[in-house]
Amino acid sequence: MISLRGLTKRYGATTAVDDLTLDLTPGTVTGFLGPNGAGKSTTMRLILGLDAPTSGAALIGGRRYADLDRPLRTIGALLDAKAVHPARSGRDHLRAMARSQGVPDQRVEEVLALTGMTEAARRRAGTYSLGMSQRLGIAGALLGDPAVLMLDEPVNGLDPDGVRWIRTLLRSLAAEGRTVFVSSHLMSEMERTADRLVVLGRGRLIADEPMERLVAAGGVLVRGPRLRPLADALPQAGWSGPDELTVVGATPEEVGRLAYELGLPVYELRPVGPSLEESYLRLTETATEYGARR
Amino acid sequence: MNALPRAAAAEWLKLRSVRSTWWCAGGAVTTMMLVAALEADSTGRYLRQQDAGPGSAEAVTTTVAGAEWVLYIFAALGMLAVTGEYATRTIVVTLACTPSRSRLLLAKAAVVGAASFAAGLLVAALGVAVSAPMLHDLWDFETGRVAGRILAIAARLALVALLALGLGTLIRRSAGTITVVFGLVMVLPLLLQGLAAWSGAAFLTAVAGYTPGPAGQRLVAGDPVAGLVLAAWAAAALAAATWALRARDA
Repeated sequence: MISLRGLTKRYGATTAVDDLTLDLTPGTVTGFLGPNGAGKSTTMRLILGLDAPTSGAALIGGRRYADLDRPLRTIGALLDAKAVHPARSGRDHLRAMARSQGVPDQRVEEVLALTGMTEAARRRAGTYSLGMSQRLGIAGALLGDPAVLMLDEPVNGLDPDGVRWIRTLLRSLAAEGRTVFVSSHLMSEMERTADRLVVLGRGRLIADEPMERLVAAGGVLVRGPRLRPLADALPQAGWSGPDELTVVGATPEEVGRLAYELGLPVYELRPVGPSLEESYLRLTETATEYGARR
Repeated sequence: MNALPRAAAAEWLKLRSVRSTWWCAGGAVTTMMLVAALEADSTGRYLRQQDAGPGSAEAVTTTVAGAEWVLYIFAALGMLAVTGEYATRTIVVTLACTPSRSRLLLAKAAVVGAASFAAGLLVAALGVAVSAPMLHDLWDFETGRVAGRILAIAARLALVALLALGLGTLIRRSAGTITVVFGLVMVLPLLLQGLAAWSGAAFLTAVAGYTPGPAGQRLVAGDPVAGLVLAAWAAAALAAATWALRARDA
């Protein structure tokens, strides 16, 4: 479990992370979203103790990262897939990490197999594609079999198979009761992977919601030849096509019953959610306005 | 295993799993053998011309000359143990594995120090092995004395590698670090001596003797106190590096 308590990081005049208080719970995939420069990577760096917070604290299971004796056995992280010495083989990269944690070499072979990197492990990391580097980075995060996983943009550079593999992996890690914290720019991917979303804008927390709530506030799409009376009866309805209405904040039951009462034929009636992408853009737009006003 | 030996084991694996380490080792061996052979050749020719007899060639002089060159290769080795991490951004992974900055630097220093001392012994012994047959008729070979000089050369090379490790941590870039190492070892004493001659301030000559270059030369010539001076330089660089590593964001 990760607890952020008033976490703040300033670089000169810029505030990268602004008074962030957050608890990430076990058994959950928490998606971390925000525009570029919102402070996502900085937050992760602060959790790992790579940067020192200006104020506040980041705690993993109640302890600061620096106080963990074998940190990779508590929290595994992937911040930068390209942070590998190009002349060192993938296997030696992981073995060096394993030595520092007292993890046996056999575990290195396990995570290599788990990430499909066994074949490539003897090659120099400089020859890896971005996708292979991501896999190696994820192998490194899993090395200590940690209760907490933190991944910055893990699906970057992965092919569709790889993306699906990550999704399944993260879901199963959370199902095992681990805390999974993952940032991504791929909204549709987040929608399928995360249980909870934390949205950051200009270093501030602007949303912390269960996924259902962010995608739920949708409406109903109704299609038929003579929908004018329905549109007149429903103030929240809008034409989304010549014979298509979208009714915001309504359920198919309500719209279907009303169409029946008005005696209107209906060819199609289905719930539509705003995509997570829309919710996200709405949220971050406000944050940007707020930031601009400041 | 405790945290420090674990970190050192990781550093040792990292050091030997990149080619640059072996290039440094190979370069050091080649340079030493080449310089020692050339030195032995010219010394031998000169002494024979003078009809000098056995015992006229000072043992290990050829190897001492070789060490002056090999020095910078050892500095590169020590420096790369940390600047290589910054250049490839693996410092992020390293600090995630070993969050204690002082422990990390201690582990690096232990590995760099031990590896370069061992390599220094090998390189110096090879220098002697190359030049001994070329000077056999002139060389008064006293095993104990030669062994002592070989140890002193290895110590000097290891201490310079540690100095470069500390400076590399402070500066973080290879080009800047090697420039500063070269400046400290080679240029600074010349500068001080030049200043002394120009201003007539004799104490500057004395100060020049305490810079890493001349201190290392006196260590190799058999002055253990000079060895302590060089060790103090390395220790100071490493202490400053620890402080910087703690104070800075990675």
